[in-house]
Amino acid sequence: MTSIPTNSGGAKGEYWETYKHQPHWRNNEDEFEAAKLGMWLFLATELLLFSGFFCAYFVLRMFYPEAFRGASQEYLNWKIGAINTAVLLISSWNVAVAVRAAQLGQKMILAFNVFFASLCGIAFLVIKLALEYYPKYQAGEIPGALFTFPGGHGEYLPSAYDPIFLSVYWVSTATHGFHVLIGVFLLWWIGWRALKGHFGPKHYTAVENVGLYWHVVDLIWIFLFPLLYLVP
Amino acid sequence: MRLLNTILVVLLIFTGLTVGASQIDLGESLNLWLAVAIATFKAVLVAAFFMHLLHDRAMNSLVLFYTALTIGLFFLFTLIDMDSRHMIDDVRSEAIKAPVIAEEARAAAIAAGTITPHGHEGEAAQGAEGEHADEPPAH
Amino acid sequence: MTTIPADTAGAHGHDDHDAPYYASKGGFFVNVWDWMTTIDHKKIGVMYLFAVMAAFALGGAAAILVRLELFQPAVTVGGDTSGMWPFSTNLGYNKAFTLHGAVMVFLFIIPSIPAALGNFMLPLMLGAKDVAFPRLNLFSWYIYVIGSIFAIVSILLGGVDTGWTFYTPYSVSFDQYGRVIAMTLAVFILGFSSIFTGMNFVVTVHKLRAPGMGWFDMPLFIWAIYATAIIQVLATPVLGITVLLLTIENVFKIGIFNPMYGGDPVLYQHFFWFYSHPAVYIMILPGMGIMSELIAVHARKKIFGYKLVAFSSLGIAAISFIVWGHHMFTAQGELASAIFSGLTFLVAIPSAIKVFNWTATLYKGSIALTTPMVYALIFLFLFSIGGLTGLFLGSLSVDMHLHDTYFVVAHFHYVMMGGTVMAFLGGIHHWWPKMFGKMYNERWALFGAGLVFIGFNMTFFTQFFLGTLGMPRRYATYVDEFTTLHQISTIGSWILAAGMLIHLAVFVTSLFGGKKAPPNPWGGLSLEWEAASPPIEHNFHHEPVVRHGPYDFDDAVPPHTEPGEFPLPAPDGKAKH
Ligand code: HEM
Ligand SMILES: [Cu+2]
Repeated sequence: MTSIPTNSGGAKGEYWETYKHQPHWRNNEDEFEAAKLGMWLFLATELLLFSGFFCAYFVLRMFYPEAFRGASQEYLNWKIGAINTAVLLISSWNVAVAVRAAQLGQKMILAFNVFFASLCGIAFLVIKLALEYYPKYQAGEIPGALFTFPGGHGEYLPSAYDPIFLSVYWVSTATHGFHVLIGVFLLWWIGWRALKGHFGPKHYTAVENVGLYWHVVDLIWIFLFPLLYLVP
Repeated sequence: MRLLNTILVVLLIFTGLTVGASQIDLGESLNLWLAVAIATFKAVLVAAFFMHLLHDRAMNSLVLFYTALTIGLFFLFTLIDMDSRHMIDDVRSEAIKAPVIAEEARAAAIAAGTITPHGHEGEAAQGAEGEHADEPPAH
Repeated sequence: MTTIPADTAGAHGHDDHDAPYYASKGGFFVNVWDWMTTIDHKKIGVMYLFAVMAAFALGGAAAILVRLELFQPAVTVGGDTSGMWPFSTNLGYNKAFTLHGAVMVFLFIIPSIPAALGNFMLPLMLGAKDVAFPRLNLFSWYIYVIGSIFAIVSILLGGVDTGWTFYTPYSVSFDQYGRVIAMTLAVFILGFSSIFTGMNFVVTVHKLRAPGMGWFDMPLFIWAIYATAIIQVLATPVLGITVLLLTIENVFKIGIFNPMYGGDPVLYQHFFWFYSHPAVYIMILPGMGIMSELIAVHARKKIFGYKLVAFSSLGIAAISFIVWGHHMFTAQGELASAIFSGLTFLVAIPSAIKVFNWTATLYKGSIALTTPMVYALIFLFLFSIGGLTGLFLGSLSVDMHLHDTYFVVAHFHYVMMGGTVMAFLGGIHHWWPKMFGKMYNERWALFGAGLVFIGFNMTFFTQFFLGTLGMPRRYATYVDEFTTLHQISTIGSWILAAGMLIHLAVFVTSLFGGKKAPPNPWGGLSLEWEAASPPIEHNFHHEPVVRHGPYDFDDAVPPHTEPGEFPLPAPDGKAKH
């Protein structure tokens, strides 16, 4: 990581003003572009990783359309999903604004938006855990062989294929949630550095890249939400 | 700033739209395609504006493009295969793919009275023999 | 931009600035710490080199055991039934070949050329000081180490007997003590190491080329590594999700691939081969890159059809994503099989372009039969056989007969060992003087290469016959009729091993007693030969400037050489010696 400068006094000596690229680069510009390209490549791998879940979803849905339809309506509450979607979209907006603030050198706007986005991330996780995972866990609506065919669903008669839908649901949302959690920590790191005055128009690589990461987490949820919660 | 606000609003509206669309029954596959289409549109907005690909080097967009292409190939060929198993051989793969363990657990739950089969739905949910009895085996 | 006088980059300065990259920094622990925390691509490359060689030795030992067991039709070794040889039971045999396959694929061949030679050479050949993300590079090395530890833990827990492909439902049904979990996690982790290496190389090639080096001034090795890196980035994540799901299935018994819970085992195969077919090009493409270097430099000839060779690398990378179904002809539906069979033939086109262009390059070149060149010729011969037999297997109807027989085993050993490993060995010899500043003993190395060639063909050519006769792969026993062929194969494996041991001895003696290497022993023109042998810590004293193409042997004097040493060709096209 970039080492913290010893002279952080005075606006002129701000870290972002004096930042000097690592020795193997020709200039800061190249270094920034390279970091961004690297981040995009990493995001490509993230998308491909999640594509496995989607592929499994499509294939298994093709095999068991009835079970997927029934299970989706019965076990998942689209309202929770919709709220979480909105939460993530808003946090994405915050992050986009934060990147702009960094470019404009607006330190406090940057820090505020980053922390707000991280709060959204936490809200997402809390909603997920408290309103979905925990009740499901208690009701025995957990994946695969652990599924216990709980009662309490009124008229609904669980099919033996329901656990398959829940398997896809659990593994994909849990992996996604894990990414959100990492994102929250990254946002804290960025926020903390922003408060120390590390970022400004001349140097905001980390803000940019963490921002890109956060957007991708959002982007994956944009697909997960309708497929898991909505499609009838 | 104005632009970002607009995008956020559009994204939220489309979230509402996709919820709305799912409440209308357009038939199994149309609903699915519509949901995917709306999600793709939203994803493009996020990528183009929030991730500012629109104003960035083309190389970064290219990375995303090839990623999407690769994912597309992955889905395409896998689904071609999965959707065409029955074309020549009339293989019934239910036999190897039956969720036997879940079926046992389900039967036990019915026996214990936790869940109750009722009406015709009870038989219809019996998996292979029930649901797909008169269709060609789709897998 | 400055041009450098030819002799300032020599290794005969006196200040610390001229010390080789591996110069001692102090006491023993200081040096260990220095290597452990280094972000110098050269040191990381060297660490990878030794690690993959160790993995090769481990996988090779397992292979020798497998062949030993197959020396006679019964499941014994030398008639012994006392259980003295743990691999001479059906279960032990299965574990031995799984160990062999998994170690060779995930620990050796995937990281071999890119992570070891690529890491060392890529920045040098580009004229850069380091790779784009040196810390990520070190990180990927540690991920490799952690992944290897998981694999070794799995072996210590008793080993896995699923085959390197981990097909479901077997791999999710009978796990004991978490062996399969440990192994699949190892693969997951190792995948990330590969991804990070690939990311690093893509960005390095894009952003760190020396001034004056356009895309078509890059050595072809770089093109190949670049194409490889693209596959690494785009294919490996799918392996990640595959083995992650496999691990989760083992732990939580969910049903995506496991038919017991309603999953689909063929879906697993799609997931697996979506990565693993492109992965075979992760293995071979860097080897092809090395081939272009070896042929051009040791035949002192401009490569024939540079652009075609370069683009065929990208072509292979692209096509490799749409042929994976040829591993599943007996598993998937007929429509998909037909489509994949057709597509499979496409991949032969760019591969053949390369082979033809190398052959054309050799024509009228002044071929020096150094070890690297000999390995290049071996590669040409063996890879052609491997590739052509791949085409047989790619024809749907033929594969119905040959699938899961020794013919397949022979095919992929001809491409992986006959292709990649031969190129790797050639590349090590080619760059050994640059990496360690020492020459190796040419005679003994040639002798080793001869043994490897003979041993390899004895071991694997016989397997083509075995396969067509119907010997299935992954069995510890066979009918008596196959005994002779199997015994020839086993004896071949000993000769092969002897050749490898000779190479090892040559390397060790070179390290400790070799002649000092000149900066440019072969008269190469690419930028790595402008650096000292071994290179200094920052590779070059001044950022090099590209003044000629990497293969302009007709009109450029190689750096650090006298004009007469590697003479330009006479007008009639023949070099004067
Ligand atoms: C001309 C190019 C090639 C073609 C057309 C081709 C075709 C095939 C086909 C059809 C199979 C499946 C055989 C079966 O299981 O029935 C196969 C297996 C295999 N090929 Fe190739 N191949 C080519 C090049 C390569 C290269 C370059 C490598 C590696 C460096 C490679 C490595 C393998 C491996 C490892 C397997 C067996 C995997 C397993 O089942 O364990 N192939 N090849
Ligand atoms: Cu293949």
